[in-house]
Amino acid sequence: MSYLYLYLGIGLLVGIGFSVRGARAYAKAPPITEVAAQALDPDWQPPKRRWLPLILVSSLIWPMLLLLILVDRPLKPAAPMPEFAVTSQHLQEALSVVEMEARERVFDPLGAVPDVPFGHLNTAWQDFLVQCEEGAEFRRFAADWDSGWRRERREGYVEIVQGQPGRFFMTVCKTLPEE
Amino acid sequence: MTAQIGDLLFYQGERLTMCDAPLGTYFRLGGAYPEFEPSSTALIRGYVATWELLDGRLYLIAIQGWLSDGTDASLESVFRGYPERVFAHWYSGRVRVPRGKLLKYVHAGYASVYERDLLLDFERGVLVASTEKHNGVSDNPNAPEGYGVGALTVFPRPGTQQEADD
Repeated sequence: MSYLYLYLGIGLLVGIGFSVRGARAYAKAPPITEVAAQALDPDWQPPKRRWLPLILVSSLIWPMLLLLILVDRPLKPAAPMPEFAVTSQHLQEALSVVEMEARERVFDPLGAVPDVPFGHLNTAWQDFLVQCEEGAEFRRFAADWDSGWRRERREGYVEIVQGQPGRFFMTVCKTLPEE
Repeated sequence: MTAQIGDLLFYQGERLTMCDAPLGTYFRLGGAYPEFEPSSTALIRGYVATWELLDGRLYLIAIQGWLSDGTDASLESVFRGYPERVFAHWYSGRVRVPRGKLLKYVHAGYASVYERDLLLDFERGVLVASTEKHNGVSDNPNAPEGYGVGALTVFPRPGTQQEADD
């Protein structure tokens, strides 16, 4: 009998604890459905909460409530997705602007591309060059990149600043087949 | 994400559906993006592009969709001065073209499985390989033939609500 009293006693404390926690959470942030109902009809009133039955029920099923807290613990926030950057391992040969532009001339027999370096991406290329330092050194790069949910092959050209790869212009970005 | 409507491809006299969007790569590489407006949950990218494979080269020949200002999108919305045909030189990678009967419907992205997949590999807009993958044979005589989307929610065209209010 004493175990039953102990069980119910702990349950009562847990029940009160849960009810107070719930009331605080409700006061801080009412459910969105209630906020919406209030916005649609200013006369609308939320249903009255009956605390006594809540405490009594909680007193009986408190082990399950404690288990729920454990299960419902906020998960560790996921690490932010790494952003792609060209590293020294990705670097290929050095090229001048003239050489890069000569390599990226696009020809189409139907004339469906402008006769300028990088074709339809010429404006993006010009924008990239404007941001680079005058007389900057450029290298070609090629990298296999895991974007988190798929692997990609990325190629292009990168500006070298103080010996380190910096801004880059991508010319190829393709999904690699799954292994 | 709801199953997505695919781009169209004219290939060897057939009108097919592509389960990849090569125009998305153009935007990722820095191509000007005119801000498309999604017209439904099944068209989150906001446009349907029509492609043609001609002499082993991939051409974009039409864009249908809405822009965020409510106007119709066209090829010239992205490629000014090229109203009829654009060579997709920026695209390298694989394009999946499902064919045959539906084996398994998945209401997400392009995940549904069909009897066969035509796999077209491109290097800078030029077709370098073409293979067909067999996924099985449907034993359901009523299974739909060709790519399709099961359900979607349509969004209003931008500006139409304001016009209606006026």
